[in-house]
Amino acid sequence: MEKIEEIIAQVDEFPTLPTIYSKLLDMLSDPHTTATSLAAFISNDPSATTKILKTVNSPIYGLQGKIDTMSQAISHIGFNEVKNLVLALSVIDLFSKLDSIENFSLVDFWKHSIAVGVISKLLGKRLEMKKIEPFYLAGILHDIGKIFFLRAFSDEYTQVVRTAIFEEKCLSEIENRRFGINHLEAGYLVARKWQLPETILKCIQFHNDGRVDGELDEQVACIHLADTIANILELGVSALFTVQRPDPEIWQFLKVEPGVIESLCPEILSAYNQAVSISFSS
Amino acid sequence: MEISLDKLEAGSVLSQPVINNYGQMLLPAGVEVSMRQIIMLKTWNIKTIQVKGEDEELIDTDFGDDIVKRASRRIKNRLNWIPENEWEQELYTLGLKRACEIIGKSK
Repeated sequence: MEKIEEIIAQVDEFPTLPTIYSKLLDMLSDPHTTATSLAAFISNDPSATTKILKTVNSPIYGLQGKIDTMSQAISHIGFNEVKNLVLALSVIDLFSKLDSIENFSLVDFWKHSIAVGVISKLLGKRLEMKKIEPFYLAGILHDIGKIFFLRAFSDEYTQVVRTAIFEEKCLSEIENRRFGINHLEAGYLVARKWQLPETILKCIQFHNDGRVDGELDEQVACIHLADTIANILELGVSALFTVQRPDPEIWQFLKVEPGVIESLCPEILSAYNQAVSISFSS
Repeated sequence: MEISLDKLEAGSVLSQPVINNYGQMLLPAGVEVSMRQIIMLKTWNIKTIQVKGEDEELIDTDFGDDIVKRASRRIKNRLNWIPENEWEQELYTLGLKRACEIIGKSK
């Protein structure tokens, strides 16, 4: 079988979205769904409820006052954000139980993904970007393609990671060499199978350089920059230890003033530590 | 890092105080030495002094020379690029500080 056909077959085999999320999608597309019925549904899962409430109360959202119930959470951050949070937390839970491979720790991988989610959310808020709602989820899922390779082609991916380190090459280059596609494209296929929104799809597919079809895209550029910052601050590890230079045009494009990243650091570290603690609690 | 007084340039920042043979402090740590001060040190027959390396000057908190040197190697190893603008310099400095914290905690 051609490698690409094998990959497509493996995408078909990839786990479907967690039930709680699928059910949420159904509820959200039903015009009769209310905040109360949604809150009641999520509250049936105490673990999910606890994690969502802790996340909503964390510096990621920076809300005034404490949120004690799911109804309050929905009221403050909206249906879509709650839905995104459910998916983010579920995906981490679903895929944190895979075996790590040589030079690729699952725990460090998810810590990095959480960091990118946290940083892109905080950066988006600081830069007063308009559509930051999906950022946390986009950050969590940005490297989901690596999880795909790890799960479907564990032995080969071990070799790919080893080769990238040994040859000091970009991981995508070695993935392309071995599989014909890289983790960005594989991640896009998985996210498309899950029928995720366009914003998430493009953040996954194009976060390596922040450009969609050669043009800088505000949301993708933010994920790209958050990825770099997470690597610089060593918040988790996404397979490789090296840090790529961010696209030089991104700073002006996103209107990042010098000093902004440094000023955000304490908030980033606090939010990251809380998010990691929440995500890995049982 | 330790350098001989012959190689000392005006503008270098002392990482340690300069003490003469009588135990008197001639210059405190943190001073940015001037030409005049360099000449003064020579009259005191000072041979070598400790100055902050390029990366040590970026860090406000004193992590200690050893930690900063190790952190400097660590960040340079990880970045396959040299900062070319003020934002990249900011990232580099943040990475350096973070590396110092990580190395300092692991001791």
